[in-house]
Amino acid sequence: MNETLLLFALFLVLALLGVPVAFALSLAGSIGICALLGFGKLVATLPYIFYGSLNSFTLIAIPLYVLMGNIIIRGKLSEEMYAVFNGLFGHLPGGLAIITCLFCGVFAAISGSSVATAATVGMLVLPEMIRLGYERKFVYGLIAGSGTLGILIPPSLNFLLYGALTEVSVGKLFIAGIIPGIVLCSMFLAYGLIFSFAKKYRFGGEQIGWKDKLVLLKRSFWSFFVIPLIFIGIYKGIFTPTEAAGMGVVYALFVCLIKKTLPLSEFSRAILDSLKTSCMILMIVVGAAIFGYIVTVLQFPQQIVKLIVEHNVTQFQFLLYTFLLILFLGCFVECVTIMVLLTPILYPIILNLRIDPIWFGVFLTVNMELALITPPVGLNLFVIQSISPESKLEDIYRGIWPFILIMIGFLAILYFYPEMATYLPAKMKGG
Amino acid sequence: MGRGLFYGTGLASGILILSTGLLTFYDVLMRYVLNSPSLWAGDVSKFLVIYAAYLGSAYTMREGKHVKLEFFTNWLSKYRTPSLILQSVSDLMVLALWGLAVYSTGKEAVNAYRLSEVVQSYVRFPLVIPLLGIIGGGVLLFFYLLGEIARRTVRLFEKTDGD
Repeated sequence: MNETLLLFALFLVLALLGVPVAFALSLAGSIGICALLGFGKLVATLPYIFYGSLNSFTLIAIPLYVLMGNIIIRGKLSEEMYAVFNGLFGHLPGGLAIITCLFCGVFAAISGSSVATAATVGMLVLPEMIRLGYERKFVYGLIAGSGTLGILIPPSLNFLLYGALTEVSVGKLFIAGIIPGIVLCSMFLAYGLIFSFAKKYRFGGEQIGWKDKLVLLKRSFWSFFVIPLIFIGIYKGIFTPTEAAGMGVVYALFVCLIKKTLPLSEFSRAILDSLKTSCMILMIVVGAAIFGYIVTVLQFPQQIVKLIVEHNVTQFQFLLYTFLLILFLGCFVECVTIMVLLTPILYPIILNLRIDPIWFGVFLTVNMELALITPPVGLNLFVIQSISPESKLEDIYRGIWPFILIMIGFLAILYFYPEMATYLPAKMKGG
Repeated sequence: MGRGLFYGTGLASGILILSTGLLTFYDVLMRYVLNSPSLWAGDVSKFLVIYAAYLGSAYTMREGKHVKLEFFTNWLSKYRTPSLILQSVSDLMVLALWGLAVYSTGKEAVNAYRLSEVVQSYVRFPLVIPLLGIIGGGVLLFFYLLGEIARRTVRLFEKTDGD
């Protein structure tokens, strides 16, 4: 146990010294293998971990969903979708708050990433909300908070990682995320509306007629169609999640080509942006695999399981500790890292405690959403700062608290009503 | 030239991701439309992603997109010399890791080639194919980091107004 804790400390020191997290994990793991098993073992093991950790059909879906999301953003299909929401709800009191929540929910269903969701929706709604006089801290909190829906509503990169690490069906995880995603989106929406009414944000944009609304819907129909294409394909067992990602890429590209909205320069930017995000995630997976190898050799997960059995830890206590641990780690470490580091350790424990692995995947992902907005290093908070350079970090921190509380409340609901995450997967075909 | 090389490999790696998408689409099409699933598409897709991840890593690093914990380094950036030294030490450690990665994977690739080792799948592709992607990516990262360390060392000995 002590050796493992030393390795965790080494990883943290390396990361604090400025070594990228992916390489800090690789280095700490390599040093651990070298110190405990010898240099010869390290040389013999490394190539197989480098190859084996990425030799997964499930992981292929990560770069593909990232690419699909980037094609949709660069091909301006996301702007078309936004125009529909603006036309339908923009004139209502608190309309932009409604649009932000709903558009985040829909955009989450095509991007798989919270950062992409917060950045894209933020760029579209933030200047308009500030212009119309919405309180800055409320706007920052709303966008950062709603943006986290990106990793709960499928296709979610977090579910892909969890599935790849545990061999739980990614298709079932995706479907499990639908109802919790809708419920959480509704909770954000309710808060946004209550706040807007309390602050008397009764202004709205120009109301357009039903004829114009229909024109907007007709124009964006093929852009929205990517969502049912993926969901129904997976739910009906027609595609695996990886195949659905490939279909999504080709479909998004096809729609952009037909609409002529993706010039070559934007296309190459979409490709490069996708590469950078994918490399960042996949290298963390490789680093975590090296680190995980030595942690497994040291039998750390088994020792934790033994401790839990010895101390008669209940399901509730374990989930509470997990929640507190992720909340703490989320203050310092980015959520992909937390996911790949903790999942292999926690998975044997949840099996031991007879917790449903699909439900736990959703629980873990909502925890990761919290990590994304927990000050001081929640990634979505920095996204807001990058798209609104005049924003103050203190305002963002103040605006995010209501959303942190809503998520904690949502976790309680998820605990008491686990069917929210387990009902749909039980009904789906294949997986 | 270095900039062009990293941009070029970055773009090429991105195109590999796009190719993976097209290949996955082709596989689905073959299975549902022509009722003739391909046995090789899944393996080739995995190879493409492995190549993209490793070959694109140097470009990602150059663009500063590998996630870092920055509170300590941001605080230290007020002090030029310690900051440059720390960045170089950090790069040196990653350089050592990738040097070892290239050495160990190279050694394994030579063995795999000599012994005609294959990957475990339907189509028995030579194991050396994915290993070459790891070596290529490792070499690119190695030279990128070497360049960065050299650049910082030069900056360290340059006189600035503040010195």
